Amino acid sequence: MSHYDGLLPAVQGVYSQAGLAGFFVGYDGVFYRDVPYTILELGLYEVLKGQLDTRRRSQQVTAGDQQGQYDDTWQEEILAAAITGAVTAVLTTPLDTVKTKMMVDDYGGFDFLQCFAVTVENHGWPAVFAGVLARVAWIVPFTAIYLPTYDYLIRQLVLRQAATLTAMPEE
Amino acid sequence: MMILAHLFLRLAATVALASAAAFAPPPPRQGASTSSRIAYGYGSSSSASKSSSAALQLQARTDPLAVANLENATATDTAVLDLTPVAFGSPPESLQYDATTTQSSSSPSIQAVQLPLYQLMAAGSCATVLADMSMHPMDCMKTLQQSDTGAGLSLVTAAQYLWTSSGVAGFYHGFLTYATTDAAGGALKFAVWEVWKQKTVDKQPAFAYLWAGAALAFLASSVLIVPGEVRCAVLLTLTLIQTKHNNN
Repeated sequence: MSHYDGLLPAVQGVYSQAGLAGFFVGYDGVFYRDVPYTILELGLYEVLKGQLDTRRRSQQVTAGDQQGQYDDTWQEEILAAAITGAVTAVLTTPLDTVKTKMMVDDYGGFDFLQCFAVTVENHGWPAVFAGVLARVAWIVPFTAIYLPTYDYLIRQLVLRQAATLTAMPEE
Repeated sequence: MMILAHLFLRLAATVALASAAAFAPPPPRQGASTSSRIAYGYGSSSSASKSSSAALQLQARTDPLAVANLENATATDTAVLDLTPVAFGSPPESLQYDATTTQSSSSPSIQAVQLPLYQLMAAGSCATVLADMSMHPMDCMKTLQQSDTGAGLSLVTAAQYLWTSSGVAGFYHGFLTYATTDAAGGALKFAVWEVWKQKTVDKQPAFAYLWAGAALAFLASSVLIVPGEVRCAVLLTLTLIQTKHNNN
């Protein structure tokens, strides 16, 4: 079965079955789900990080701690990312449900908004939040790893470069 | 087999980052002296020193593309900061200035560190792959639950199904494909996001520009990510159907 597990055979398989369009099956559903998702993910994380940063700095200033006040931000990054993940997961669950329904169930000819409206009409509001717990349980750890890892890597690269620069001939 | 593939990916990611970092000369240890403070501003406009110039706060918001290094700066110093946009890949002019000028100990020296675009992209890729690797088993279980093959399975029984059908590899169905496209997508996403943030740092309203940037970042990466996600589901389903067929 491992022969399915490769980029090239998969590309060939999908292409031979459905052509170029085969790669973008369900694209509009993913689009409606992931644009708000990314906006919340990156935007909220940025805002939360800023809030936590402000709080920490004011505490440090109060405590008179001038040294090392810009170090060790990873805890608050993870916290910010986890909160971001939770909020993002819950808020985008209706979009994810509709996307899955469009892909799985027979909603042929319906666009995203129509599919959303029909789902609410037939099954009520709770239906669009189906699987919200699984989604939160999946996205919170994912985000808590994803964004802080990125920040960590960037910080390492910046530190590396900054160390190179501060090593200029002085004294 | 799959584990080997993961190790390879991890190695590749490490090599990518190491080679990216290797372009810069190695950091001498003495350089990171305790007297120098390296400031990151993480999206916060509140600098520790309220009296420092607005330019410094601006600098704080451009991070992680830029880092202000305040050497011997006091809270009342008005920092003069060179915020001239710098082309990616070329060293900022201020750095060249600092590199050739001996610093006087009384004046603050602010150096803007600008990471080249490829380093941002490498970091974006690595973070994406790491997060994918951590959460892919959960993704596989979820996909199995949603597919016809695994309809009615709970999270636990889905895990049992994957384990009995293919062991550890069962939890990493389609991972290589997924990670390849996702890593490329992650590189694009963060490249667009960081460049956008840098270009619109002084634009108002800030939140609108953040939103637009995030949407743009997704659009750029979606071209690569969406096919990957669709293929992942296809691969998983195909493999499971085949496994089931073989078992019967």
